[in-house]
Amino acid sequence: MKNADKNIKKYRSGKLVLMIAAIIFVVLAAGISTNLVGRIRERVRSTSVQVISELTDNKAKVLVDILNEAEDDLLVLSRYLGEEKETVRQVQIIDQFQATHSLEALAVQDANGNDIYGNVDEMCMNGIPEEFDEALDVGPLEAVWDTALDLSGRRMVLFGVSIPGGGCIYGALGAESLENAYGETTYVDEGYSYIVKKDGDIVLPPVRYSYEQIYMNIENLLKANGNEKEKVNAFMKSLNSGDTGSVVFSFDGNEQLICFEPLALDKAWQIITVVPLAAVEADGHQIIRMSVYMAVCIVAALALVLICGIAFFFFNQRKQKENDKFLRRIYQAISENIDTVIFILDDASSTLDYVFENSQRILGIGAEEFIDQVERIDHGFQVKLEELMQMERPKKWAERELQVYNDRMNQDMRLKVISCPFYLGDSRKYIFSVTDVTEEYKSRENIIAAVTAAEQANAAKSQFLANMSHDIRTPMNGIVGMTSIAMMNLDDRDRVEDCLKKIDLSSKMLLGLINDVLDMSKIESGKLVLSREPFDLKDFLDNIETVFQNQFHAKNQEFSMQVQIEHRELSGDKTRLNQIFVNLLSNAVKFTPENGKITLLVQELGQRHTGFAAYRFQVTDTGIGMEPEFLKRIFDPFERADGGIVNRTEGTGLGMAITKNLVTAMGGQISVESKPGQGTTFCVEMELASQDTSRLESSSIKEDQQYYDYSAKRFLLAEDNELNREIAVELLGSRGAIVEWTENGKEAVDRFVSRQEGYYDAILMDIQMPVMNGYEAAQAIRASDHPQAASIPIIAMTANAYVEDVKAAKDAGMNGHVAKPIDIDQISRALSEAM
Amino acid sequence: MKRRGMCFTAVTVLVSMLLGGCKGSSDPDSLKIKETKKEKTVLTMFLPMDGTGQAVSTYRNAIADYNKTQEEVEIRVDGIPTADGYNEALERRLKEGGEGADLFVVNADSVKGLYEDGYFMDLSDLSVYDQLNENAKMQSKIGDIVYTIPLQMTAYGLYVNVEILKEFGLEVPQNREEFLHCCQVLKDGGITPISLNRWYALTTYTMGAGLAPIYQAENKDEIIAGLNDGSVKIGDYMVEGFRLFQELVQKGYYGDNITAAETDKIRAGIQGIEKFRNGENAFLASPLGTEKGIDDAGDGKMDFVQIGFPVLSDGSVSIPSAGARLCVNAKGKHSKEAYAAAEYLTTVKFQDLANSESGYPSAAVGDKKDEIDERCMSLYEKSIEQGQVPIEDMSLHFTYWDTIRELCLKVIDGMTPEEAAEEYNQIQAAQIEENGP
Repeated sequence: MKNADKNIKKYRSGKLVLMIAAIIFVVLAAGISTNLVGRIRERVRSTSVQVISELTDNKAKVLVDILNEAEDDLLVLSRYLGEEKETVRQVQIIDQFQATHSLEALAVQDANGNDIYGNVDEMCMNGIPEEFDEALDVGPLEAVWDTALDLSGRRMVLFGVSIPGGGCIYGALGAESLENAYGETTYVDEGYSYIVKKDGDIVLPPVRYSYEQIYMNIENLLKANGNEKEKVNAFMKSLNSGDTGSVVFSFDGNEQLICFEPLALDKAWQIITVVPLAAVEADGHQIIRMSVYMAVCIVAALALVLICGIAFFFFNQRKQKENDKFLRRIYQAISENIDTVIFILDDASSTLDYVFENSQRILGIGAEEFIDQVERIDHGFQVKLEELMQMERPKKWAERELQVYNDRMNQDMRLKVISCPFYLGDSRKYIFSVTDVTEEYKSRENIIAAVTAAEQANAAKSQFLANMSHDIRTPMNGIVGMTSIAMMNLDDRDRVEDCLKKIDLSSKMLLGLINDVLDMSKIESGKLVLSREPFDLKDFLDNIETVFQNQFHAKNQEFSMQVQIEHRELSGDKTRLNQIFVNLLSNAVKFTPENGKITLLVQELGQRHTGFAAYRFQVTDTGIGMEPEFLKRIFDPFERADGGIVNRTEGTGLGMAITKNLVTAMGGQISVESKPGQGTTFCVEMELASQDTSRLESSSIKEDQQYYDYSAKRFLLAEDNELNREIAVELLGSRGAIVEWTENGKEAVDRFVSRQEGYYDAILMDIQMPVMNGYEAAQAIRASDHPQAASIPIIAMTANAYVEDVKAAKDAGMNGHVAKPIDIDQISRALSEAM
Repeated sequence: MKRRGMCFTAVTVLVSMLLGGCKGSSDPDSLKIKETKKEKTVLTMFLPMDGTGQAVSTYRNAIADYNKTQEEVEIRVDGIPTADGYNEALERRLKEGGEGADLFVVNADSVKGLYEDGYFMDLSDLSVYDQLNENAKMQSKIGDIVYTIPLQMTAYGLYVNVEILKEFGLEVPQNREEFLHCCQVLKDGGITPISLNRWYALTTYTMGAGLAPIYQAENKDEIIAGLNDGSVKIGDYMVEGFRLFQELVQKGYYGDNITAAETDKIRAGIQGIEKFRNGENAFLASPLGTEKGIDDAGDGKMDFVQIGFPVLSDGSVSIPSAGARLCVNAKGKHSKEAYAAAEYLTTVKFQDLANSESGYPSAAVGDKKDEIDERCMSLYEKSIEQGQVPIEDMSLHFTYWDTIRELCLKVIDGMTPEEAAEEYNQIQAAQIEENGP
């Protein structure tokens, strides 16, 4: 599920982008807010300054009007007084003037300096300043005025006007009345105004805050309150220049906004309005607070929306992720349990979106190798697959099979590729399912082969049955026919003897046939058990040669045996080894025409394993040979080559199958080379265990040739089959034995137990019997309290002729085992060993 | 679902907040009637606008707070420099009916005259009076009444520019001889040793040298009694002070060729501070608390010390004074409101004022030594010693602060110390006669 990693990367990169976006948003919001607040503050300040400047301007005009009016009034008064010479009349005029004007004080002197109205000496604290009087002497057309203190220490504007013809008028406007006139407070009672000279000397202080008069000069006030000298100097320069403007200074414990402008007077006075900056900016602060509040709300709203958006995004992402995870697990589970690799290809970009992770297991190529968009260096299996997916874009479901060599897994593969288009949203996608059907294909082939083989086997078995019918009927015909002839010629001893010999020959042939069938059955059922006994290979081979000499002579065949061995004392299943050679040589004899040549070559090979000697046994004949087709099936059971000659030969067709299985079971290999008409060579290679003792077989062979006399011996025979019973009684009786018989194991046990000790010399026990079988009977005898219970020889005499049957007999307490058909010599040897 | 619910709630709350914020403002175009303000009773506080403005600065914030908290009464401040005739203006305002001086700050030399005319309301019932230390209490009394509540104390002393003295190899003078030696060396070095103004630059040296023997005498009370009944002539003591002053003038320690008229125009205050700060003068007579102004006049702290006036042959003497003598016009139209205002200013703001880092010794009971600038510690310790010359002894039946100033001006113009002493004797006699024993 390599695509899941891509999704995680996308998810993380998406997260990062969102985080960056959020930070940018916050920074931008903060920046914009700060900027807006700054602009609002600036705007409010500008508006406030404008308002205060206008107030200041109005105050200045009012003040100038008052001063000009007072000056004009006094000039008018002076003209009236100048025109009137009588003092009394002058006083009347002055009284009238005072009644209509609001001068704080008024004093008039005549040309001689005598007071004709008021008291000039009491106009000012410390008297009229000399410089004032000097200015007054200029003439009657202009008024002189300046600030002064009255006797109570109150500030006032003192006016002086010369009276035409002599004398002068002194009038005073109280500072308080002036201030009241132009407004003692400004800007919602928070501000106040100074009148200062252009050098900064305070002319008229404000009423409420006049304690700032400790600073006689506005410059001192500003400097003493820690304002920057440069700033103060610049301000003082502006004052001196008669500029109009505003500035912020700190005094009276607060920042103060100062608006100043010149008064339209020849005195070059300036009016300065002071408003605490906090008052100026109060509204601004309120607006800013509201703006900030609003901005915060908006930002919070936006942030909330953003957060919700992000949360929603992440929620979806997480959900998507969980879904992906869920799907991934499903896909993973699917991919782990199926043999189909799913590819999802984007049609537009021709890139793979999705590849099941089982691609590594099934195709030998990791999913990431398909996903990674790297240039392919080789042009192997992966490229072929990718090219297939690039080229195969059917409009509907399509399937095809592909035979390709997988260079990653180093094997040929047969792939079934199903392609199917579908739409994911607007994107056209393709699903390619690639299934490795190699095994399936093989299985299919195998099934076909198996079916064919089964059919062949069936045919072979049919043939086998036909052969068996023929092969069994042939000796049976001999037995039956010869028996009939013998019975017809009972008096002709020679004829009867000849018939019996032929009957014996046919019986043995029939027995061999049955043995072959049984062996094959045993081998095929996996019940073949090899015994291990010592033997001499040279003697073994000589014996083989001896056995076959008659057959060679009969067909006038030339037989030669070449033995090239070092180790001859071996250990192994001599019977089965003998069976191998008999089969090989019998085949050679059988398929080699008269005057043909048969060779047995025995070579000892180099030792392969300690304790074993390796040999090659090669049987070569100059017989009819085999077709290549038959060579392939020669070791299959029930196979026999077609052809007249073959059909004329006898056999079950199991010989070579048995031979091959025996060779294989003994750890060897068998091979065959043959051409039709050019003879056949069978080659067997096998290892046989070597042993030190030898010649054991020769003595036993000698014993086999002994004649046993059972006179005065009494045997108990347990046999349910009457014919077999008769044969056994007859054969043993022919050697002088007395045979008592029972029909089942139970009777045998009872009979034995009921007889005294030494009554029987041995017990011959069939195995498969009604009431009680041989094994049970033997066990019962051994378990009985008869004095001979443990010692009485019990010989199994049964058609169960396998090794495991021998073992079972021994396990049941029996002393020997003789396979049916009953052979008197075998019985004799078994009895001899047991007794 | 839970998350969706939370998001929905958050959005709802936010929208509600926004809508709530939009609500509440009335129609701006509707008729608005401005609330008519009730006319306030205006109390005028008349103050001398002198020097560093201790009187003003002491009460500035207190007045501002008072005006903010009172709905029916407002204090307005008015004042002129003493040099412009504050004492006379105050007297005139009081005589006019007191509308221009419901509350006022009185200079030491006006106390006796105004007391005789009955303009002082007895403030002994103000609770803060009991919290004053003995020094402050002594300064607050005249006759049998408490005419003022001095919230802060001060003492006149001599600021010495240590840096300049070091330049000339001099040490801070400890007595009259050393002081004169320093003056001469500095004068010879081209420095005008003593800062000059129309006021305490004249009186402090003269008064210290002349009156210290009285207040340091063991029979001080006896001498004062003699001075009050005229049996002891003030001139006998003050002649020594005038002699010192004459020497300071004649040797050019205040500057060359000074005249009384020009001297009388030189106001005490910033100008003198700036000259002292920039090294034009080495000695500055000024009350404790001026150090902040000195430091502010230049860049950072200045290397100076404040000591008692070294005008005695065996040492120095300081001139303790109340910081600002706030009084209530007993004859004013709004005397009741003025008394309440004074109670507020003194009682309510007492702790704030006493605890402020003004540099002035506290008028409150308890050691406030920690608040004194280390450079001024010498003067502070001198000021609380016995034998200091009060700026105006209210137990005397004649004045000396302003009288000595005027006589000093005459000495500048050539009056001899002896003549000045004799004139003072006459003034003494006249005031005793006028004020009565």
